[in-house]
Amino acid sequence: MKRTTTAVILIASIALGSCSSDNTAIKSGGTIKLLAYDAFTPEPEIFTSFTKETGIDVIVGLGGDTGTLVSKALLTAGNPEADVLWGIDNTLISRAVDGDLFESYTEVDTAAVCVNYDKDFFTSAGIAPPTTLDELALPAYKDMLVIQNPITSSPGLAFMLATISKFGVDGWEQYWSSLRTNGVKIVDDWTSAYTVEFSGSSGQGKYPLVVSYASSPPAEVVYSDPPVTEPPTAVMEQTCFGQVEYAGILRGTKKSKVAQKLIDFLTGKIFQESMPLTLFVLPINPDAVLPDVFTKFAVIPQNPLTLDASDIASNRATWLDAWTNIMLR
Amino acid sequence: MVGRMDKHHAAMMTTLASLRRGAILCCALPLVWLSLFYVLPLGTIFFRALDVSALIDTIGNSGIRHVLWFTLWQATLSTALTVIIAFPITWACSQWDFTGKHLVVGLVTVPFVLPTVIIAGAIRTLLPESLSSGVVGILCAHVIFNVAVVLRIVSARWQQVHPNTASASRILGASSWKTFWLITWPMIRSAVASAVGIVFIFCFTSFGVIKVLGGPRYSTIELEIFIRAVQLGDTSTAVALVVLQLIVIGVVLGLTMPRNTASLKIITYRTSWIGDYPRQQTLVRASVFATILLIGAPFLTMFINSFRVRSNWSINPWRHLFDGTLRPMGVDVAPAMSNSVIFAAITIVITVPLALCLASISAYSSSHAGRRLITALASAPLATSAVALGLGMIITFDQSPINWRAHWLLLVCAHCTIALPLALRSLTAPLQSIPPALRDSARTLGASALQTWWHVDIAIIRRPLLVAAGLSAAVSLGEFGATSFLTRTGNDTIPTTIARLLSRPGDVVQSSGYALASLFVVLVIGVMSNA
Amino acid sequence: MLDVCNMSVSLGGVSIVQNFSLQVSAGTTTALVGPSGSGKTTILQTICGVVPMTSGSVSYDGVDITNMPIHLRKIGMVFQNSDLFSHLSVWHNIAFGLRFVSPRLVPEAVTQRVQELLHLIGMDTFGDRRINDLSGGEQRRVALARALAPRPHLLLLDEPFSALDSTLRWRLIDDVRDILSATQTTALIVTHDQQEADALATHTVSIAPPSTTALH
Repeated sequence: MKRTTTAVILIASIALGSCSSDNTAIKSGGTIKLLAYDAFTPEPEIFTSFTKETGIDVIVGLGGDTGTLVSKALLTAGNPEADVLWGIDNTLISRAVDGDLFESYTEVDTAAVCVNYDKDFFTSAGIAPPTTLDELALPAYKDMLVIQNPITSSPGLAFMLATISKFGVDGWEQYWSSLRTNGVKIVDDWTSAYTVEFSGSSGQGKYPLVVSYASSPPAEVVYSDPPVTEPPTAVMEQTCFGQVEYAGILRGTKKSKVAQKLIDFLTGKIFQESMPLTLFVLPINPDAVLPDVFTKFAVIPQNPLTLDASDIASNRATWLDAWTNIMLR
Repeated sequence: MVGRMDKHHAAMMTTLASLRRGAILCCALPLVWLSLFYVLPLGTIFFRALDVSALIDTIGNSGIRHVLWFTLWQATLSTALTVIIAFPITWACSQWDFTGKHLVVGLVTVPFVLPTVIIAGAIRTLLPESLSSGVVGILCAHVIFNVAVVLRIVSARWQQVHPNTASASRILGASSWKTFWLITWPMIRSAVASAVGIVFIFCFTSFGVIKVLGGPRYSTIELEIFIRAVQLGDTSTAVALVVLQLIVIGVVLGLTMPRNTASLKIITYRTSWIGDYPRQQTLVRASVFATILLIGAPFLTMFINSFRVRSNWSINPWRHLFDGTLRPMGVDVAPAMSNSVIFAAITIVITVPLALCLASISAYSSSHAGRRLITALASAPLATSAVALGLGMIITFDQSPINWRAHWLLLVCAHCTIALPLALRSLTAPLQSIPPALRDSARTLGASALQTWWHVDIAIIRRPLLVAAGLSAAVSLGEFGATSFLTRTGNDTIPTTIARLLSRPGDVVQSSGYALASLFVVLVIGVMSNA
Repeated sequence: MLDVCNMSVSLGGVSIVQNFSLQVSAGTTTALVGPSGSGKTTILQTICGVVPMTSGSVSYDGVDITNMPIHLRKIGMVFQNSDLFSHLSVWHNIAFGLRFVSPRLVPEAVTQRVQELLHLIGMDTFGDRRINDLSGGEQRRVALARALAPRPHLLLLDEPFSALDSTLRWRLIDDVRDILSATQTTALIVTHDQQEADALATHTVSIAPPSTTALH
């Protein structure tokens, strides 16, 4: 037995030496690890100014979709694998708080999940684009909408919550049955829905209506190739669900102070102003100035649909089960 | 005289004592390992799931019942199809000798040691989307993965049926089919039943395949466990599902495992050279050709697709793997590769000695019951869902002094436990086939127990040891279920990286996924052909 | 009458039988005697169709059976060993060939025939026994009874006594000779033992091993 113990320790120490080096390596000012969802794609050099100012390198780790990110973080609550967590939204924040995940947390951005439509499609088909959730269930818009599975996708979940907010706990299930009858297409994630199935973006798919963000039209302009001046897509304002994203210092980190500095940076003007064009979310910092393309094309819904975070927390599992039974079984 | 006797006696006692120490160590190592990394995690799951109300809620949930029903019928259908499709090649390989037979058997075995994610991805390149995403794709992937199981298990038994038996039946007037049903079938039935049991369990606990090909609509219990535990954070339902799944698997194993494995002859008869039998040659050729086509086609189309971006030829998917283009999406191939290789190396280092210990006990042991117990215990991980094992490990090792859940070494421990049954299987038969007389004569010639073990046992099973190492490495390299549970940021392995790439539907990205998968297939074939 | 004409067989590129010819007249017993490796077993296997021949022909009563499927040849064969169906009882082993006899036998006829044969081999009460519980001599007798049951045109015996001790062997040889003459069966028996051949057969054919040159 003694020999195996030695062997295990030996292997463990080799292992620690080889794979965890990024955790322990100390460069001049040290490092800080930021964990975020897969879609976290800030400007590549954005943290350079932070490093210049503090001497600390930021290491970004991606942890899957938001749901997976939270679950995995909760499994290691108190003994975190990173110092700062980015991107839990108001649909999941209660879970994180109940699981005692954070030392402290704060709002970092807002966004709205709305149904987007392909302008060209409706113009050439000679149909008026839908404007309300109710209209999406009409035969005129049969086989046109592609959405995400709310279990695996946070915009998918937001859209489901929008319908609950709109039709109430008694009416939303009925609404979804009619959506199913109307031929709604369900895919696993936003990328498949927006870039493959949706007709208005790069994928040139078959569906002219898609659940995406209020900021998707300006994104189409920013990333268009060849350049366009007008977005080919638009937003159904009455379908928007308000999303707030949070960042927090993970409980158990040994670098609280540096983590706080990073949080300050993330909520600071430089980072907040870069967000609209990279993460397509709206800044929370009132000093941040929106880029032109945003002020011009982004819809900032005045009264988005919302639900109370604690309501969401206590009913999320039941609602998801009900949704799955209506839509997938 | 007395003095010499005493000396001799003393020497014998030392040998006996050292033998006993060795035996105890041999028993203790694997037992400690399996208790710690198999029994304990699953025990914890059972213990937590004693919450009967959660179990009842779970069974009462119509959505779950729907998933259970789908899991059952797809597994049943997959198993039936696998057995039917594997039959011709099994017949050809167990009855005939032909050029390239070893190559064919090796080729058929490749998918079995590949990550299921890769098979699923390959199927997606072969079939049009309307077919691949859904039941057809799932069934195809399951068949391709499992043909090797049927081939290996059934042909091992079929080769033990003396050719005279079938000939006698033909001569007595039975046609080939009648001979098969009346004579051969009853003799290989128990092997077919074991194969059916194992294939059914693999399909029932299917995870990677369903994750890639199932879309939002199709889910198995195994995938549902993952969704509940990881994506929804609903551990109590996940645990209830694990229990449910273990019950179903227990029943299936009970029904299909052979009752008396005691008197299995290990003689296999020589097969006839197919060139001498022109009548059967066409059938054998057709079986081999069809099987290679079935198994090779998806991998070929996957390879071709790795050079295609939006219906144009391009080597960008391959270039992007290594030039950092994919890094912003959390895909970094080089560290994933080094992780995979390190994990595989450690898995070999731990698994092979454990398997060797177990195989030695079962070869040396005179107690039949003890032997069976060891084999059963060590085979159990093969039949247990890897996701359940991952979940068990996370909820077990979450408090000091063993708060390991965040450590990647836990992942390697899971790999070892999952690889153990396969490594054990490749060592048991060779060790048991060493005639005791050989060891005795070594001892008579003055070799100590340890020397005998080293110069006789180890020397004879050098090749099987390599096979065991190769299989352990393949399991570790390809493991996906437990890995997706236990993996931490920065600990991506090749399969999880491939899964990540395949789930990103940008043309180049997906093609990069196919490129990485193709690379991995080549890697696995390399490892296997060396073993 | 069995007529083997210029039979050549090669297996795995090795020539086993070269230009072998043989005639066995109806109702007689011919012994094929030769050392091991002379291809005796292969000759029997080729006559009954289990092994295909490279060239030559086999006919029975003027009907060419060279390419006839094995199960239609109406030949009986007793192998050296391992040919009994171990998952079936003695009774079902003997009855096996009767289910393929045409016209189809009624169950009563099958029972009667099996009883007859059990009696013939002196094992009347052995019907329910399992094959693996029988002695070597008993097993060969069951194999003989099973081969005789469907009343084959021709019976081939491949060293049926080789695995037995000498007392048992001679008793069985006597039995077989009596059974063959009682049933008037045409038989071809392969053995390496001249005494055995003399005791059983009306004619003896000796063969030597072929020149062991490989074909390629």
